[in-house]
Amino acid sequence: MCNLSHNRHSVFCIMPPHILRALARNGTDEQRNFALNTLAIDSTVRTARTEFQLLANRGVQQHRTVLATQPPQMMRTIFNANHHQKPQGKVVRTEGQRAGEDIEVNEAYEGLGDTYKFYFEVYQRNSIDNAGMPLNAYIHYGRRYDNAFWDGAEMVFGDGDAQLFNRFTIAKDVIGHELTHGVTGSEINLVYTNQSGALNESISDVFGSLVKQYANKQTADQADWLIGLGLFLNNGQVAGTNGQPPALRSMKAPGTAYASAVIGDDPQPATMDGYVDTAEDNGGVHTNSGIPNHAFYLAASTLGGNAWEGAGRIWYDTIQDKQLTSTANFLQFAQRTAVNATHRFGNNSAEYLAVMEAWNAVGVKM
Amino acid sequence: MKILLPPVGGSAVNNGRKYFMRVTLKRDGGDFPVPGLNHPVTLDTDTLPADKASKLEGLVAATHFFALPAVVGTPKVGAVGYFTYQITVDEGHQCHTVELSDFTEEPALVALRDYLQE
Repeated sequence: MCNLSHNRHSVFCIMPPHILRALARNGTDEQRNFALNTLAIDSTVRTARTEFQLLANRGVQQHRTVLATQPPQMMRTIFNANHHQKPQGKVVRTEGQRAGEDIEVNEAYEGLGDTYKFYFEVYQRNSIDNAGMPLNAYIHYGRRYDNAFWDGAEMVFGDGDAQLFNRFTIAKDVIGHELTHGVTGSEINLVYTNQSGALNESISDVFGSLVKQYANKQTADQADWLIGLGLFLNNGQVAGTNGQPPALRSMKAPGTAYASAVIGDDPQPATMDGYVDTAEDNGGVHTNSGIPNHAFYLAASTLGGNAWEGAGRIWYDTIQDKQLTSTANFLQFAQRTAVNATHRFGNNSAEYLAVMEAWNAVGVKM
Repeated sequence: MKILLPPVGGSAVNNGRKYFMRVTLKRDGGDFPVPGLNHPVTLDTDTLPADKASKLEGLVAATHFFALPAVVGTPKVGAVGYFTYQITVDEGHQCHTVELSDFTEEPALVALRDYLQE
């Protein structure tokens, strides 16, 4: 058993995580500090171990076998990067700990939880890698950092630049989007350039939106299909269109999410007629993602009901489809969604027909 | 483009400086990019106030910029959506571009990037 006064951490002793979490919630100040620091080290080591195994074995199967006997459980840790532009910092909230005063800490914690619960309850997926990967997030990253990203093992959130952008923890779909990059990396691992990169981006928008819809208990008809609502500050520099507030992207109507004399208008195309050939943005991955985004929206809204049950299930099957390579293009991905719709729901099912019509409508002809 | 060679013997004076330095920052990437925000930003010692010009020159000198490789810093495996930055320093007689990212840790280069972003 660890001797707390010597501050040994649990990598070298046998203090189990659930006791550390209880200390973090209920202990004295000294005990809380010890527990929080120990949990942070544990999480870092566990994450590093996971990374090592994945890289060493070049696949998830062995790792899954090792952890398959452990019951699924969510393990969230939020770190304060304190405006340093690197993922390091003090632990500020751990799993089960009550909310504090920092709204970004609480939003990140809730968003990680909503994403975990979505994947587990809807698709029985145990965290990002389907093997209980701890969910770590760094908030207050950088200074006026107007971005959030997945660094391969954890999430990073900026505070926004206070001119155009709000804090990046404010949008649940942004959190789901980022964590889904980890899911994609664990499965189909689409190369982040050109069409495979646009698919990678679209998959993150699709499941980021579904995380939001699931948390809000919204059907396809009730959802706004906007990505990043709330990210733009309400100071008149960026406006929405069609009576909606501004967002970063629209799956329902790509190209209409925002309009601004300062930064220009939403550049996303809805169909292949508007496909953009560019060297910027890794070949336009955030621009051309509008096309598969719109295909998903069309399929989901044609089917109606909860989008995660029909179109979402087909898309989830497809990102695990071994017939697809990491360089898949729009057509190859579309073809496998049609096949998977048949496998899941039957020949000429409503789901199959909705998927075929959707891809045809955006100009990806099968 | 103005070209002013470094002084040989006597001095060529421009804004009180011996020769110019033009530093450009271009940012790309990010997971929620807005194309209208990615225009290059250029600082020119010819047009900056003297104290800011000196600071810029000091930051560049601290990086040993012209000895740097074309790319500094390696992104983590599986990372997506991070920013990349291209910094170009043009002194007329020499010009060099270095690409860095959110994963670059060299303190002097990070300090230069952060100053240019302000």
